Amino acid sequence: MRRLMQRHETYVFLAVVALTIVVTALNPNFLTMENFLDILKSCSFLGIMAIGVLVVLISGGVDISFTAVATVGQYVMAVVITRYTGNIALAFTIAIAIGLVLGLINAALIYFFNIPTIIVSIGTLNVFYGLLIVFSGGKWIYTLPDWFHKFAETRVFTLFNSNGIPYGLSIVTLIWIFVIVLAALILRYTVLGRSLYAVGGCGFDKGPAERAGINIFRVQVFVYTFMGFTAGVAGVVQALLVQTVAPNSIVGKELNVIAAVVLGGASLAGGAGTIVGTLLGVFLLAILSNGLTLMRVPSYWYDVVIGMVILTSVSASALQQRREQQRAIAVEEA
Amino acid sequence: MSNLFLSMQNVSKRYTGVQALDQVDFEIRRGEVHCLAGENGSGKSTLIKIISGVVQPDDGSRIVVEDREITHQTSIESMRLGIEVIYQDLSLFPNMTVSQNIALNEIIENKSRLVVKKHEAEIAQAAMDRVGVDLPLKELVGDLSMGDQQLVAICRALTSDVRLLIMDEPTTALTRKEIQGLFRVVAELKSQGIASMFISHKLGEIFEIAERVTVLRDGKKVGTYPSSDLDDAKLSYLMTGQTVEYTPYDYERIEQQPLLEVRNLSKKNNFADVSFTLAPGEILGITGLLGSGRTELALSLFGMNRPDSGAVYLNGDRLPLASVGKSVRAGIGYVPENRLVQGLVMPQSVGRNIAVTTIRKLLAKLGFIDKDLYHENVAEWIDRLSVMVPSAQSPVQTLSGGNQQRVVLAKWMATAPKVLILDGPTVGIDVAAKSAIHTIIRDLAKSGVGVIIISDEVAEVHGTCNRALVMNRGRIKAEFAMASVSAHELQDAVQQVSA
Amino acid sequence: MKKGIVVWAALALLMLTPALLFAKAEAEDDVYEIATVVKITGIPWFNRMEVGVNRAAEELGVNSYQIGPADADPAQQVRMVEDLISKGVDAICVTPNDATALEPVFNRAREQGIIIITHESPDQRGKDYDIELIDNENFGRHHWDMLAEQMGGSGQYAIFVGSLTVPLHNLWADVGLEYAATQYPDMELVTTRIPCGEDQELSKQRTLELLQAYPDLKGIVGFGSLGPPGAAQALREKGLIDEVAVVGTVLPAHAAQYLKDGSMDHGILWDPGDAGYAMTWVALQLLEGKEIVNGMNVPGLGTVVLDGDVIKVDAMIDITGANADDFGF
Repeated sequence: MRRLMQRHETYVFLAVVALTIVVTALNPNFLTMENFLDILKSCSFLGIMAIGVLVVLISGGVDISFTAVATVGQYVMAVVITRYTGNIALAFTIAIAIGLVLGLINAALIYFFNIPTIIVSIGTLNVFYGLLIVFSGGKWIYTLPDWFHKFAETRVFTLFNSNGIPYGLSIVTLIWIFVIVLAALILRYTVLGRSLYAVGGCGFDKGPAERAGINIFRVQVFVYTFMGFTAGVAGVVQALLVQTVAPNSIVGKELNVIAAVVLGGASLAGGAGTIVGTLLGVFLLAILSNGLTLMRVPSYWYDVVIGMVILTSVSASALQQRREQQRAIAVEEA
Repeated sequence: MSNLFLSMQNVSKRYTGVQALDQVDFEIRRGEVHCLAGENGSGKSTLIKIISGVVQPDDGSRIVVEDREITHQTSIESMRLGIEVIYQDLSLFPNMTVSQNIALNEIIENKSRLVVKKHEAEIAQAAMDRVGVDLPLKELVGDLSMGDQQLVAICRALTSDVRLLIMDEPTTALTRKEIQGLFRVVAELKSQGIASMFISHKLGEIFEIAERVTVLRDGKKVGTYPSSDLDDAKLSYLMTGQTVEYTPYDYERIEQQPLLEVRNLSKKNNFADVSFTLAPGEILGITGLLGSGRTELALSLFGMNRPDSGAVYLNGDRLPLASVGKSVRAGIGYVPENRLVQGLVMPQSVGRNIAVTTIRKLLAKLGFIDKDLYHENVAEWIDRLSVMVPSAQSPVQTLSGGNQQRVVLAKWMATAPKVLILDGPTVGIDVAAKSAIHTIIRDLAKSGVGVIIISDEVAEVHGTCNRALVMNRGRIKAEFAMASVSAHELQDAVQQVSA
Repeated sequence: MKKGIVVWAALALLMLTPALLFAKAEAEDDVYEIATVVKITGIPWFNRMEVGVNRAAEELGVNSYQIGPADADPAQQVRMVEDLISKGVDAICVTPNDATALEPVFNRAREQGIIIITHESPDQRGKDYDIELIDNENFGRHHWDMLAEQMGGSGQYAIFVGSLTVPLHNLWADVGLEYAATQYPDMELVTTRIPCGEDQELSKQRTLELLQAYPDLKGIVGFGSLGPPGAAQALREKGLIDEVAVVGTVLPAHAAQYLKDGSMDHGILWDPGDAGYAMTWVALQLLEGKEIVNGMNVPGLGTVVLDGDVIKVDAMIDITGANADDFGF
C-alpha cells in the first residue's frame, strides 16, 4: 500500500477516475461503451507515438522529430498506394521501413557526434519535414483507395447503439494494443529493456552502463529505430483515421505526445517511466479534452484547463518525491 | 602456487609530460585486506587503472596474476581474472531495483536476451547470501542509504568469480554503523579467500581492517607497512613527506557579548531544542556522526531549512531564517558539505565563482559590472587565499579539490560575513591542502568573524576549533573546550554519545 | 574522425538540396517582373494560388512567379519582400501574415517605385491596392443563409474556426452571428466557436463530442478548410448524415467525396488561383500606367467595385456535390 502511494501512476489513475466521475455526473453519455470505444479509437494515433516517446525518454533522450518521421512515412505510403495499388500490409511495410531508416539516422547522429538528443531531433525534424515539403510541394492526397477506407472501418467486434448504428473495437485500437504489448514485453522481459533503464538511469555520464557491459550504441540504435517504427505505424493509423494525407497535419503535435508521457510519470532526465503510466497519461489528456466538450465548457478555456491539469499532476508527484527525499532524522524524544 | 594473487614489478606509466607511476612494485596476497594510501596525484588511480586493465603500463613493467604473466590486459580480461573495481560513484543504477542492479552484469555477461525475474532474484539472493547481507530485493537502489548502496555494489561484484575486490574511497559517505557493516562483509570475503583493496587518503577506520598499507607519493612507492606499525601521524608523514601538527587554536575571548545566539531551535525530524552561543573570533565545532542532525542545523542557520520553533539572534537582532538572501544580507556565510554540488558553478571561471556573492558591490552605473573593479577584486582574493590557478578565467572544474575549496572560501569571505558556517571544509582534500585551509580559517576568526565548523572528523575539529558541540539524534549531547580535552578523549566522547 | 567528416558533408549536402532545387535560371529582363509572396508555401491553398500566378505569366506576358516562407512567419515574409526590393522587381503582390510588420518595408518599396498589391488585407497601410475576391460581410452572411436553408431555419448549431486568432474566420463568424440574431432567431448557437478547423482529426473528434453533449444538434458551420470534412466524417460514422447539416469553407476536390454522399451539405469559397491571377493583373495595369476604375472588367472574374484603395470583385463560389469536381482544385 505504501509503495502504491509512492507511485506516480497511482495519482494519474486517481485523476482519471475523478475526472470520469465529474464528467459522468454532468453528462451521463460519457460513461458509455460507445464513447469509451470512440475515445480508444481516436487516441490510438497519439497513443502509439507515446509508446515510442516513452522508450526514448527512458533511455535518457528526448526526440521531437517523430512527427516528421510519421509524416514522411505516411506521405510516401500514400503516394505509393494511390499511384500504384497495394494492400494494407504493404502500406504498413513502407511506412515502418521509412520510420526505421530515419530513426537510424537519428541514432547515428546522436552516437557519433555525441550531441544532445533534443538538438539532433530539432534538426532532423526540420530536415525530414522540409525535404518532404520540397519534394511533395505540399500537395494533399484526398482520395485514398477503397480498400484503405474499408480497412479503417474494420471492427474486432461490433455492437449497435440505440439508433441502430454500429460501433465497436476498431482495428486501429487493436494496432495500438499490439504496439503496447510489444513494448511491454521488451521493457519487462528482455535484457535490452533492462539495458534501456540502466542507460537512462546513469544520467549524462554513461560510464556505469558501459562498465556493466552494455553496448550503448546498440541501445541507442534500438531506441531510435523503435521510435521510428512507432512513428511509421502512427503515420498509417492517422491516415486510416482521417482518410486524408496532408503533410502538415502531424507535425506540431510533438509536445502533446511528450506531455502525455511525462504526465504518465516518465522523467525527462531519463531512467523512469512505465507503459501503464504512459497509457494513463494518454487517457487523462483524451478524457480531459473529450470531457470538456461534454461538460459544455466554452472552448476558450480548453487550453487553460489542460495546462492546469498537467501542472497540478506533475507538481503533485514532484512534491511527493521531495517529501520522500527530505532527510529525516530520528530525533531523540525529550 | 604462491600465496600471491597479484604481483607487479617495475610498473611505470608516463602520460604526456607527467610520470604518473615510476617503477612501482606492488603485491596483493590471496584473501588479504590491503590499503593503498596516497595524496591526490600520488598515482593511486593510475595504479588501479593498470590493475583493472583500463590503461596499459609502459614497457618494462611486469604483471603477474595467479602465477601467470599478463601482457596487454584489457578490462574485460581483468574481470575474467576475477578483478572487480567499485568506483567511488558505485556505478549503480538508482532507478532500478536491488535485484536488477545486482544481476545486471551477470545477465549481460551471459549474453542472454530474455530476463526471467525469478532468475534475477536468485542471482541477487545468492550474492547477498555469500556475504550474509539482507537487502530488500524490490526496493529501488536510489531509495537506499549510501551504506546499503555500497553493499549492493559489492554484491554485484560477487556475481562473478571475484578474487580481488578494489574499492575506491568506500567509507567517505558512510555512517559509523554502515562502515561496521561494510567491514563485516570484507571480513566475510577474506574468510572465502577473496582479497580486498581499499584506496583512501582518509586516515582512521581503514586501520581497523587493513592488514597492510602501501603508500604512494608522487608516483613512487614509499613502502608497504603492516598497519599495526602505522598511526595517523606516521601515515600522514609518509603520504606528504612532511609532519603536520595540529596546534590548538589559542582563542582569547575579546568580547563578552555573544555574536550569535541560538535559542531552543527545533525542527521536526531534523533536530530538537538546540541552544548555543558563538562569540566573535571563536571557532566552534559541531560534530557527530552522519545523520546526527548537524548538517540540517547548519542549513537552518543559513535560511535553507526553516525551523519549526526557536530563535536565532545575531548581535541581538533576530534572524528571519526564511531565505538564503536574507541570511546573506544579515551577514551569514555558508560553505556547503558538497562543494561540487552546492558551492560552485563548475564550468564557470574562478573569477565569476568568487564574484557571484558580491555582484551587487561590483556594479557600475546603469547596473553593468565594473570590469576593473571585478578584476581587481578577484585578483585580490586569489592572492589572499593563494589559489593555485593559471588565470582567473580558468574554469573551476580544472582545479584540484583543495583549490576548489579555497575558491568557495573566497566567495564567502568576499561577502565579509559576521558568521561563517563551514560544513566539512576539508572533506576530500589532501593533508597538505587541509592545513593550509585551517590556517585561512583561523586568520579569518582572528579578524573577529565567528566560525562554525561542521565535521565528522574529530581530529579536524580538535585541531581547528576552540570549542566543540557533540550532536546525536538531533540533540546537543555534550560540549567541550578543546584546551581541556585531547583528540582521543573527544573521539571517545563522540562514540559514547552515539552509542 | 574521417567518418565524422563524411557524415557532416552528407548532411550539409542534404540541407542544401532545397536551395539547389529553387535556384532557377534568372529570367529575361525585357518584361515586367511581378513577384507574389504568400503566407506559407506547401499548402494546397497557396499551391492553387500559384497556378493562377503562372496562368497570369502566360496569358499576360509578364515574368510573374510566387514565393513564400515555409512557416507562416511574418519576419520571413518581411525578409522576402526586402530581398525582392534589392533585386529590383517591378511589382510585389503579398498575402500578409502580419499587416503591421509589413508596413515599413512596403513604404520603402514604394519609394523606389515598386507597386505593392495585397490580398486578404483590406486595411493594409503602405499598399497601392488591395484586392478582395469576396465581400467579407456578404461571405459570412452567405454561410448562415446556406446553413439555415439546410437546417430549415431553426435548431441548434456550432461553429468551427481555424483558431481563435485567425482574423478572417472570426470576422466571418462575428458577421454571421450578428446577421443570424435578426434574420434567423430560431437558430441557437450551442457553445462558443471551437478552434479545430485546421485539423481534420480534431474536427472529427470535436464533432463526436458535440453530438454527445448536444444530442439535438442540427448543424455545423466551419471555417478553415479541414473543419467541415472532419465533421462530415464523424456524421458518416454515426449514421447522422441526414440529421446534421454541415456548411463551410472547403477545397472542392477535398470535399467532393463528402458533398457527394451528403455527409457535407454545402461548400463556399473563392478560388485562390483567381486571386493570384487578379493581383498580377492589377499590378500590370498600374505598371502600364492605366487607372483602376469602377466597372473595369478583370478577365474571367467580373467587374470591379472600387472602394477607396480596395478593389472588390465578387468571385464567391458555391460548391455542391454536383460541381465539386469541376473547379480543378
